[in-house]
Amino acid sequence: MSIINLPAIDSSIDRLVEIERQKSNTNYEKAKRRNLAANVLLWGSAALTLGILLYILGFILYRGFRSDNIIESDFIDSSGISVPLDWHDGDSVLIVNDKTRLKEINLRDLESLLNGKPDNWGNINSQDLDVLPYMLSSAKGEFGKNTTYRESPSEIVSSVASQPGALGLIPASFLSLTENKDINIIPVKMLSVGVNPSVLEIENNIKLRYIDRKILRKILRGELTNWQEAAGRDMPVRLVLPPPGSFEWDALIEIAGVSSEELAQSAVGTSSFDEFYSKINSTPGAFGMIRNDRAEENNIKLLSYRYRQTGANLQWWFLFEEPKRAGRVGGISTIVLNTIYMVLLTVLFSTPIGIGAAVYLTEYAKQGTLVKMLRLGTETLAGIPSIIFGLFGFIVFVGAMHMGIGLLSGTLTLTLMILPTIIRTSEEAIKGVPRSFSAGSLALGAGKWQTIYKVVLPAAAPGILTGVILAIGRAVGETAALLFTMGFDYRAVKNLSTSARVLSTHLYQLVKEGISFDRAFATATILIFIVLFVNLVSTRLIKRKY
Amino acid sequence: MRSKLSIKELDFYYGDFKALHKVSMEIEPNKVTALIGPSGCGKSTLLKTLNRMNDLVAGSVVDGTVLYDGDDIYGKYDIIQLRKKIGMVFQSPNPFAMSIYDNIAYGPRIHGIKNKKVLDRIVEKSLRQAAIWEEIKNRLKGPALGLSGGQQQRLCIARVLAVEPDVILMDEPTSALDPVSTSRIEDLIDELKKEYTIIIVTHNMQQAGRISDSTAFFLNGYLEEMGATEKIFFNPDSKKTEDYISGKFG
Amino acid sequence: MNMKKKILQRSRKEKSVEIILLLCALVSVISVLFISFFIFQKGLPLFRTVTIAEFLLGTNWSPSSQTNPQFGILPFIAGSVYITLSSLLLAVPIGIMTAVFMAEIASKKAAEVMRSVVQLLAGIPSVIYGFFGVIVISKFIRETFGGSGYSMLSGAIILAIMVLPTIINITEVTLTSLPKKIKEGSLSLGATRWQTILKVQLPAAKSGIIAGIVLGMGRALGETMAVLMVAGNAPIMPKGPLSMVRTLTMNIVTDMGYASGDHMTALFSTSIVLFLFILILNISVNIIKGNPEEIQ
Repeated sequence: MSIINLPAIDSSIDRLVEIERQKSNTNYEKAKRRNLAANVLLWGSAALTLGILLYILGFILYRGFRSDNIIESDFIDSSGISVPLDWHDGDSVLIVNDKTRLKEINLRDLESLLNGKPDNWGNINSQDLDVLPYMLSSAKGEFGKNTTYRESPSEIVSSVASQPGALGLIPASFLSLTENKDINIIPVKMLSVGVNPSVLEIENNIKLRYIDRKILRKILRGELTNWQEAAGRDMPVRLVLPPPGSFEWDALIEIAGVSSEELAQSAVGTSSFDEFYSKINSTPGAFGMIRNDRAEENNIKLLSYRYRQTGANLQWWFLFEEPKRAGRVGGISTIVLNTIYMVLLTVLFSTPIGIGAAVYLTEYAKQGTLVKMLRLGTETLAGIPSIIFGLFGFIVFVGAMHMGIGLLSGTLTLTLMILPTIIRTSEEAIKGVPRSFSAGSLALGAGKWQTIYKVVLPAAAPGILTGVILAIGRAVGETAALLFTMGFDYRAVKNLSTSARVLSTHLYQLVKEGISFDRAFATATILIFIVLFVNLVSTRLIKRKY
Repeated sequence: MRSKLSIKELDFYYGDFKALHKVSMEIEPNKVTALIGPSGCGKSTLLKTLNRMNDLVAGSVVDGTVLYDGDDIYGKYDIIQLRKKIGMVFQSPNPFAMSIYDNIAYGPRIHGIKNKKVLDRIVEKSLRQAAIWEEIKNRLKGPALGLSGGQQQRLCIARVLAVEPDVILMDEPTSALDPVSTSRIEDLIDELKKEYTIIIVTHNMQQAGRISDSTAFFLNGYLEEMGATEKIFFNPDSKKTEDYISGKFG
Repeated sequence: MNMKKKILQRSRKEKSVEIILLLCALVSVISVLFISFFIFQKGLPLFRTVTIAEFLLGTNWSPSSQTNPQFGILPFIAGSVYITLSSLLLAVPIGIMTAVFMAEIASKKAAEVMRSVVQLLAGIPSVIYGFFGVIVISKFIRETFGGSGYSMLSGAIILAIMVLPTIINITEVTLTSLPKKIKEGSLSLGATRWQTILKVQLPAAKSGIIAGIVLGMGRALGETMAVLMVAGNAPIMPKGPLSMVRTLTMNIVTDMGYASGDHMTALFSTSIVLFLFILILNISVNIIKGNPEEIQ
């Protein structure tokens, strides 16, 4: 008897089966196309994931090391070394001590420094240094009370060279004196964009807000003849030229990048400064490059100038200088120090408890309700959001146990948070130690704890260390749990109950208070480096283990 | 008679390890060919080269030719078409976590058959061919993983039959089964060879003797001897074959 | 005699070690109990002045009003739910496909690289995600759709990036732990890789993938810093993807600094709601994971 026992042949269906089979022999191309499309999708998703990571890391690291900001200011980003200031006859040169981090300065800031307000560099270059101006005695009495007067330019140079935070003005004719490695010559930005008030009037809801270098050049060359083209109102541009041969004239020619014959055809020439300023004020649509300090006295309206400012951001000093004024000034040395204290304390608290719990779970506990409960507890703890840990720390450590907001409350809260990570990885590590190790020790008559302590734990050390390092990574990045337990004091902690700001909370404050994006990027870069380091070390350890 | 599959000078490498050395053999249609030999001799590897399942192993390299009905399967032959024509039954049953019906209909469906009536017919026919219809016809919508091991393996055979293959490769199909299930599958193989060419890898010498028409004996990646099963079992040319058959090693 | 004494001493020591270790193991359980206890103890008294329905379904949050304080947290529940679900909407497809890529398509080396990528993504602190969100994502939303850029959409995008590693990890682990023979069975029938993945492997990995999604949901729901920095934090009912939202976590952290009296209690009541949400998610993960479908 055949075991193949087909039911009565229904020829119509079998014919249909045959037809479908024939069709299916030819249409696998569709499946292949779909497979290809799916492959593209899968590769695309992975590429997207990779791209997201690279973008985040790249963006933060780039801006961490390189400050790259769009600035709107009264001053044009063109500066000169020899500047015609009224304080000396002829041109002057600004020198500062080379401990002062300064690449350039604008005239207004320079004037306020010389007038002794502020008397600290903080506002100018975020450096916590006293401002010590030196001037020639011929200018005696014209400046603030912290200005010191010297008889000769060479005395000014030697005074500036010997004191951090010192600055001085010497006649440009003494430029050769400045070949001293302890001083730097600082270019000064002096020029602004002055316009006729009509240019700034609102028309059809449009108001000219700023111009940039490209528009400035076009105006000088006569390539831009109506303010409309610069996003302003419909009004012809009238370029007013400063008296030929003046400082302003030379600067204008330099920015325009063309010879004086090639300047805008419609430009209005002037022969004196009085004429220059009055032409600007009287001609509708007028435009002129003027010295910033002359604007006010001549009643000239200024137009904002927008430019991109790039430069180094994170440098070593940022790590080693103390923060001042909520991190606006100085570096983050104390914050780094606080972070280190926090990590050390957290590891100190959590590692013994975590390893102890892991040893109990793997070596002592008998399977049953207790173990189930312990595991459930660990798992639940791992899933609790950090803000709830923060609340708990706030009620229990800060409040009920009277520890106050400070290092101890914060680290105890963190300890609870990272405990599950340490328990889990330590458990894995202990389970990974071959039974034969402990069996050998037990056979020699060693006690159970002795065996665990002397044989099992050393063998599991790399795995446990991996867990500790991962936990450190988590602790360093944690913010929400620390807001109400550890506080924000950016000074170095003195004892366990001192409020302490760490890197993550500092970054949050910098962003929230809008203090400085450059500083936020620099701080974030340091955090990223810690994360990268933690990842590198932990993967190395895992690789070595297997 | 023309060969269904003809293997010529086939070398196979897993990375640096050479698993097959210059294997040449002819597989005749509508016959059961058994591949025997000790573990690691290359018989399963050879089986997997025949429908290119070895492509899944990273670092595997094939050298030589395998002709299926005269076409080189490592040439331009379409891999989907190839696997449709040369089906495979694995060592342990591997039904999908879906209903019995969906397991059988899986193959036809992925090849584009959607007509419900046609699928019903194919499912019924395949299950009947695999001699399992009567046992499970009332629970086609039930989970395939709820069947016994022997039933699962016959289900897997039915699943292969549902795509109407030409050749069926079986990699120790009964090694995970009890004797009763084994004998049912052996009966089934005997029945199936009327319509299909079957190549079976087996560790079980008696099984090879019972069901195969010709037998190939492998040793250390070499094809030691191949011939009619009776000849290999009772009058082998090679001393090594004789030793293996008589149980001196392996 | 001496020997006996020694053995006795040792067993006493062993016993005390065991007790110390047990205490270590109990720390987590006790912490969980303490956390639950204190949060309930501090939060429940609110319901002496406000009914649970008023609290959960009220849409007006003006807790520091002198005359008529209102404690409705429905806007924050809605904010949390919306922002979490929309982040999953973005993260789940990308996460699953990336995991499939790692488990099925990528070479060993590429999979290794992707694993490091995922690990790094998981390791980036949330405050950095928040900062990135402020600088890049809010700006993008502002420039593309207008408004302030601080919106539910910005929050959802940042959260999507943050839950991506959780979903990828668990899906990948589940896929790679599936028995190989299932995949072989499908391929040997002439199925393409994609057909095999879609029709056989993903269904078989279903419970693991769902567990991953639920875990990701927990992470998104509990996240504070990143959303706090980008989602706008307005205590109103969210109106759409571009409206500012406040989530449960944001509500706790925003007012905590200055709240007192009933206001403070209401923040703890908010945390009860958050805690219960998280607890439910955790329990469902355990149920899903403890009940892996018969993959064999």
